Amino acid sequence: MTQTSASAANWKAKPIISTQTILIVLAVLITLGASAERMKLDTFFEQATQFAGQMVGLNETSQIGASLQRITGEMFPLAISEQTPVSDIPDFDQNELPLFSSLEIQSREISRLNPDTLQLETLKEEDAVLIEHFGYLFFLMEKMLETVEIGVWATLFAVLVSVPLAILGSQNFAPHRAIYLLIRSAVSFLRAMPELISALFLVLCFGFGPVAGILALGLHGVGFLGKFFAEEIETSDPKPQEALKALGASPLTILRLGVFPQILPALLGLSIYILDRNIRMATVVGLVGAGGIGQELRGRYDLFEYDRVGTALLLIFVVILALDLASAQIRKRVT
Amino acid sequence: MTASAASAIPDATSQQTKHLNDHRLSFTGLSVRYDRGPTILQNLNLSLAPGEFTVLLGASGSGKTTLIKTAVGLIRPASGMISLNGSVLSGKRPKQLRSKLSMIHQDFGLSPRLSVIQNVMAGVAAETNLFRVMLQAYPRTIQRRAIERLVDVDLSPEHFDRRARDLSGGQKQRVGIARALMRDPEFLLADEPIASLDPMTADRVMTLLKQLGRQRGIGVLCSLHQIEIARQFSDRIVGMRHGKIVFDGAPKDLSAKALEKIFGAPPSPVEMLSSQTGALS
Repeated sequence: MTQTSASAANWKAKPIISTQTILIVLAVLITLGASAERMKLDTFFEQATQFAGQMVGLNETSQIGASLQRITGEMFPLAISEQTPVSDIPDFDQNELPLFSSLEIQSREISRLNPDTLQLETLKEEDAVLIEHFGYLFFLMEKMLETVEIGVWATLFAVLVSVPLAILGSQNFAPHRAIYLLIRSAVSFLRAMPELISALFLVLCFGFGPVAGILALGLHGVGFLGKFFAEEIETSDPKPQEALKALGASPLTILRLGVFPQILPALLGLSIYILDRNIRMATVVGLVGAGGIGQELRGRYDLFEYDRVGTALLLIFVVILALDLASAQIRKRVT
Repeated sequence: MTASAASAIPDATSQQTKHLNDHRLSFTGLSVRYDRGPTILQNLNLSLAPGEFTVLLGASGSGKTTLIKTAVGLIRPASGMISLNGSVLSGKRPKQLRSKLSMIHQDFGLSPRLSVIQNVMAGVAAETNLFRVMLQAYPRTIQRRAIERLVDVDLSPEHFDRRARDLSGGQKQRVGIARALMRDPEFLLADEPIASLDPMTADRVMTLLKQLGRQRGIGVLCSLHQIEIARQFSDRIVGMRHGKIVFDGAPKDLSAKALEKIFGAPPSPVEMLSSQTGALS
């Protein structure tokens, strides 16, 4: 028997499950277990089991079930109309009612202490109320439009700031390596900063309203577009650039003739993606007071007016869905 | 200057011979090396005459492209100098002299999404007001000149507004030539202008280059690796190998021995074949 065949005879296949594997799996399980306790996942399982029990009729109530019931109960029917007492409307003209509205006499009971008899008595008061049947929906649509406008302005801001930043922050066109590094790190910082947090601070600086939202989303957009535009410039075909350089063209001319025509579809696609994202995020930054439908939603949520919250959520859902479809279509066309 | 020469075709040749000595593109002791890398060109001396069609023949990696790119200022030489009509080009890069040299590229170097006419007008972008270039609003004279050049390279007007990427390879190279002619160069430096074209188209492009050079009294330096095409079109062949000139003479002097000097071993059957069909990519 030769030496090779002897060692071949002694060769053993590696065990499928080695001690090392078992130790690693154990360590992972212990870590996950410890983390699950910190995350209070046990409470979640308890609640979920209760809820499942209620669904199949094992127990009468559960915390999740009760909350869901309360919220959905208050959310539906959704609030679409708006009621305003006529006495609150200055210069009210009964003969010229707004579109889709009607007048209604509502009676309400008021308890009051009668100064003569010193007894509580109930009085009936009648109020004329203007009911605008789609009033709240129209109001929300106007707020939604504001949100879309915030997204559009933020995108415009981001694109306009990003293009020069991307040129100075691209390896092939940066006038100096220090400028390249400075711009790239500034852009990274903007990207790393969550827009909700920057919106909080911008609301402190600029007050409640759309401007804080536009700046928060715009700066975050610069973080994205500054990086992506620069990468497009860096990876664009060098051949036309070299040809222009051989003709003695300046860097600006090379950018105008040799780079931007080629990367324009990509830039448009990225900008539309950011526009789509900005409109979605504009609803979120509204929650911290930066204008639009988000701000309205937050206000109604704080007042426990879930029927109005529900209408706002539905409207947001419809608009985002339409936007998603539209942006996918447009991006398919330009690229 | 060359425009007037072009309009006076009959006596162009007599003018050439008259100015033969001062209207020359010369490379003297030219060396190019990459940072800490190998030397690409070694102490190269070459002088080109106006109106002459010179083919730079050599295998890939022999330094043909480097020589052309150095001439137009894309590569900075380590030492030596380039002069045109006795004035030095290297160093501070005098723009006016540089504009007497135009390059034609192997892969055409066109901006694919710009129109043909925009690509041609880019030939004088460096000499045009930056604001006009940014807005792509060239003066009328430049537009007219671009149209003239496109007619010179036999491109019909229906192509002028098309995007460069929608043209065929041969048409693209015609646009490349028209762009190179925009600045009325004294020398055209063509870097493997037919490498990505089929044999028929290649033949037409070479004929056009030769014809334009002769009509306008432009000196052409055209790098090639196809021996037969070099023989067919050139007035003079300069053979390069490993960054040095190893042959310089008339096409008829290009013997088997000379070819061995240029390509190392005798040309392989593949090279022979490709030189006959005219395409090797």
